[in-house]
Amino acid sequence: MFLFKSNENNIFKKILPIKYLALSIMIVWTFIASSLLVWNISTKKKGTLENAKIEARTLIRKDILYREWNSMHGGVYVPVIKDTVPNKYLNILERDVETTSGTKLTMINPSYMTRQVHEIENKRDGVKGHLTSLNPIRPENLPDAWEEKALKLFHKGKKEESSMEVIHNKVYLKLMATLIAEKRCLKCHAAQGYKEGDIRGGLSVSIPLLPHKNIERQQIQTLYITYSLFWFVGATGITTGFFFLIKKIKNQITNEIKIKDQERLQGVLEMAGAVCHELNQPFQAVLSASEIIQIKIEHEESISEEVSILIDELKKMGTITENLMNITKYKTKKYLNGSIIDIDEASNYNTHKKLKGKNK
Amino acid sequence: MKEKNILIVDDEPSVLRLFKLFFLRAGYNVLTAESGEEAIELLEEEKILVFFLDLRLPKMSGLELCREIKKSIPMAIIYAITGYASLFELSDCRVAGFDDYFNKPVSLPVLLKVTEEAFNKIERWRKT
Ligand code: HEC
Repeated sequence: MFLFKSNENNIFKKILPIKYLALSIMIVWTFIASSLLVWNISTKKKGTLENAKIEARTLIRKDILYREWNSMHGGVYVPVIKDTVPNKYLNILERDVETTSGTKLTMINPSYMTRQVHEIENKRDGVKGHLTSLNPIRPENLPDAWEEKALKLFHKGKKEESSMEVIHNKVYLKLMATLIAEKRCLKCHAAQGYKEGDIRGGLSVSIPLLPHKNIERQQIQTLYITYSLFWFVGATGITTGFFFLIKKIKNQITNEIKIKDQERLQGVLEMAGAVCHELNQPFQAVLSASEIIQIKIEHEESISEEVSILIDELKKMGTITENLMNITKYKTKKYLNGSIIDIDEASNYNTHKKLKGKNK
Repeated sequence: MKEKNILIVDDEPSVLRLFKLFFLRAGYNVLTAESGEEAIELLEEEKILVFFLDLRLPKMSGLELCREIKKSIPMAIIYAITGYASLFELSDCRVAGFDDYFNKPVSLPVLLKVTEEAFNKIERWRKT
């Protein structure tokens, strides 16, 4: 029972550090996999914002190009309709003209055109565009708080400003770029004191992030699935390795126990052999002497010689058992094909009392 | 049968002495040896057919001695007397050519009986 317990203990002791090791590898693995996932997700999110910015810049760039086309002509005449009435802020000669057939035309300055395009854009795509300046001719063109801050930064040298904004519970990317006063612009803006190269104002667009976010969500979902699989494969590997190792160690320990038991049996056999060998020799002498004594007594002969043999042999047996009681080390000698305990050598009993060296 | 020679080989002098005494009284001519080498010397001098060998002897073992005897005297009847032997070793005894084996301590009347039978057997072989 005691031996059994110590074996269990042994197995437990050997397995425990491996359990801790497997656990730490698992934790490290989980940490690595989740860090990679988090990093990947944040990269994806940054990418989404970057994509939205590119879209916003493209829109602004196109606006500016059409404005340039307009100011290239110093304003463009369009027919007056319900939504396009003469611009009261445009103080210019021949603002309103009539064709030979009597159609009324009015001049559209770049800002008016941009504003109208922005209205269409807002209806179709939900994009909010706004042309503004810190020093507007048209009071409605005053910047909001965010734009005002950006414009002030532009005057300090910044070229672009952007951020995520929530407008009416919807998430937008708001991006604003500078509008520089060019020679063409000065036809109408020189009166305000602008010179070529001055910052006339800014153009901001707010793009709904939802379509971008939808794509992002799908991509992140794919990431979750991929990384879960990735983690699972590693975890399976670690677990399998752990159980494989445990099984190997258990086998090793059971083998060790088997070998120990075999060794014990071997020892017991060697001891049995030794006891039989050492004791059966004097036993033989005692038995033979007794049998002879029996015969001699029947014939009334002297038995003194046999009796002295008896005494000698019995003393010898005493020495053997005393040696057995004093065995302190493992020592064997060859016996036939095997080996037996060398009781003389294994015992620390007085050397002079040892059996005669007949077995050398 | 002229001479009933038996050879007893054992490394224990007291055992030899007692065996010799017993078999002499029973009417046999007893030779003794304390080692295999000594026994082989005796083989050359005397005509011996019945043997009692202790398996464990100094230097040459009982098994080796048995093989030697069988080589020079195929007719020999050889008995093993052993203090301790496992089953494997006993089977080795049969292979080596022992006719029978006895574990120590063995009773002298038992040995006397097998000796008588051995000589009867030899007598029978002689007649045919
Ligand atoms: C044909 C005349 C004309 C030309 C050319 C012109 N603008 Fe304007 N611009 C105006 C008028 C009038 C307004 C104010 C009314 C409005 O917003 O329509 C204005 C408004 C603006 C505003 C909005 C802020 C404000 O003052 O209300 C900016 C910014 C602006 N213009 C920039 C420019 C730039 C840059 C150019 C050159 C590419 C340019 N404009 C060319 C007439 C012109």
